[in-house]
Amino acid sequence: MDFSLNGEQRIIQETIRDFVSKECPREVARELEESKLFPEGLLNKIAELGFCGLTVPEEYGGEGVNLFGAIIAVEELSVLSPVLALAYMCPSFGGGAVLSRFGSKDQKEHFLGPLARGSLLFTIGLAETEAGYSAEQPIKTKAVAVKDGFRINGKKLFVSLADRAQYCLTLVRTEKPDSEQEEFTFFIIDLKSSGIRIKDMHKMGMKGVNPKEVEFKDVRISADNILGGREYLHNGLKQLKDVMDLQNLGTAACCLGIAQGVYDYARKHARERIQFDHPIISFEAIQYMLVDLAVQIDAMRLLVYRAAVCADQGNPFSQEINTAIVYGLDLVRKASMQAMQICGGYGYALEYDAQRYLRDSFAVPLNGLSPSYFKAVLGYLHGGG
Amino acid sequence: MSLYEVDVERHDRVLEMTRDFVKKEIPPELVRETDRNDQYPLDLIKKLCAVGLMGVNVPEEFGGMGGDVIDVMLMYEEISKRMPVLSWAAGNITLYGNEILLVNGNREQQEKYLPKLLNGEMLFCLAITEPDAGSDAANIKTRAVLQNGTYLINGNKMFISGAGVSDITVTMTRTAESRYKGITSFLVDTKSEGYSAKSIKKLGYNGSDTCEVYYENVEVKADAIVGGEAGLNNGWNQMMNTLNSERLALSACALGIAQAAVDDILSFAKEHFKFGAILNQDIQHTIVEMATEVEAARQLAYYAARKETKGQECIKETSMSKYYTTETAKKVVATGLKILGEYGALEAVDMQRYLRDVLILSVGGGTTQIQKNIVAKTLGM
Repeated sequence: MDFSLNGEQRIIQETIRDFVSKECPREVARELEESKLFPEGLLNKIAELGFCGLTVPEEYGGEGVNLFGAIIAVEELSVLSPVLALAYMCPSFGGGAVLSRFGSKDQKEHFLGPLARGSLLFTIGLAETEAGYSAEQPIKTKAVAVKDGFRINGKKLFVSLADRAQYCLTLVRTEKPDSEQEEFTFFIIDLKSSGIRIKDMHKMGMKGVNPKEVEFKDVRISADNILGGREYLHNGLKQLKDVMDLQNLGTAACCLGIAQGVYDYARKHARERIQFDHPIISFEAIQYMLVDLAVQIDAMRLLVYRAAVCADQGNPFSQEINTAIVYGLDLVRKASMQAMQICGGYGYALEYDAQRYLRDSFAVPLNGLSPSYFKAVLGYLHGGG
Repeated sequence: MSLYEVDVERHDRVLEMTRDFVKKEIPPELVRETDRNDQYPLDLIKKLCAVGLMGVNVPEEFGGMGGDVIDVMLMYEEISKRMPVLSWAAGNITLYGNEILLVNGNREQQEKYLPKLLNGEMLFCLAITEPDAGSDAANIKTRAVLQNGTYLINGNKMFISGAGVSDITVTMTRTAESRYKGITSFLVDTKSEGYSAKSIKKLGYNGSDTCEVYYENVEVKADAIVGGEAGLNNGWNQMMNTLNSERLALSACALGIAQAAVDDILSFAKEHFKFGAILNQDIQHTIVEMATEVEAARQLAYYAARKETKGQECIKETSMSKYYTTETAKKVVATGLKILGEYGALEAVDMQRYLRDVLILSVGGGTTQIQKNIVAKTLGM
């Protein structure tokens, strides 16, 4: 077992760190969030550096699938700009990682090239109610078979960047003739199709990559757009687990990066803020808060890296990634609340960053699922039924 | 058995009056609008004056209700359940006006200002914190220097709520070198030349008019010292005298927000997590924990308050209460957001506002860490 990054991984880390320090330093990250705009220019630059190709095989124009490399990119971007990290996750995780694994040959040829170049954005449509405790239970959006394909009606909530993305990987109900059981299918839906209406949803944080409500009204779609191709009709639930696991590699790395950014920020404040003639980091009440965070961030990093290594090795990683995401969602919220306490009044003022990390931490996109959902997945993996 | 024991009838009346007021005057949409606009809720303060609630802690001889700190807490908790920032704005009368004048003011100051506070003509705010004097409050550098019979104040204050709308800013200044015995509190007229307040944009409690305040050769007369001549260099002790009630009032703010979080999550869960006949057990037990912790915190707060109303030593209990209620409220709201998931982070949903509001309660009025230092002392450590 080797816990150090290899040569290639180190180069990826150094390159993305260099990019962040030059192109997206703290002031830029702050302005970006305040502007509430999608960071298109910065995402293009990331793509130019080849990072969007990290989830795409070389034969399709990528750098070769290197999920570990991609999560390092997400982690480093999240330290200063979680918004930019999420923008990057759209082509790389929402599109590239999923299609590389589950796309049909045609789909790979069609989508992976533009995804690797960062010129195509994918998003995912799952939740349909406010309470995303279970991904499949409340799904009412339905695809009905018609002459030359399917007709889709329904509504999805919390679809990240649906106004920007070209395609939405959408989980819908499909009817199996002669079967009582309800089936589900993943469709790759072009969001520019007629019959689609997109409405804003505003969250407290992650401004610039806010989710949308997407309504489908008699949207026509070909069976070729079923994720994996026609033969994967009714296979949506099986794919859902795997799609979420891949997606969560990115989300967990985002939690890790935010927690690291929060820690760095609070530590800097604690070293600079003088009260009672001493920097407040010299008081154990503050110092150990930071130490506890550092311990947990370290643990989180190992969890996320382990999951990514498993995934790159082609081994099952569901337990690993769900462990990481359950731990990470708690950590990031706790870390940002602790940072607010350490930074005191200055944490509360909008001109400083502690409150931005806090808002982003509680707005990490989960496709409308609740953090409890991932615990339920783990419960199942642990034999809870 | 009543939770509040003493003078139950008046407590019940205050509770009922406040509940009526909230129901009648503060629709939820108004609260959300105030959060968006960051406007001080002056209209509601005037209405609170009109129904008499802003005299809750003022003796009847000055036209008040003659209530005690329990009455103040009941009112604060009820208001905070719906509109936390209004309880802070109410502080610009009840805490920084009434309480300071009644505890530390002289008769002349009480007669001059209390009627105007009660009828909504005047607002007071309290300026202690400075950029370099937060938890280390005795480190204040704002100076008042006596020159030709008047004091000249120079310096600046930070995070002063209501400093832009108030008529009087109770200002703690350094008047001698002694760390604790060189501090004097002045009633500074905010229309004085050289006084200015700049509002600070912040995460929550929007509408509180929290400001940075600048004093540039602001002139005040000696009779503006809180308590008159006797108050010279006695500002620190004066502040200590009002800390118990401030901690209890802030405890009540935290309880109100926490209770709102429990109430909201309960109705959400009933609607959304009912698979078959019963609630999902994970959700059910988590909500039970939230409700239990809020109730435990409430009992501690009102236990501390009963000691205060009986005139018993209660620094330990009020500090425990401030620390425990605010930390519990933070935890409860964070748990509520966890249950709600991404939905709870929507601006249209109140839970995210509870989080943005609640986080300052464990900072202002003495941080959790400072409260623990105080409790440690009272426990002999």
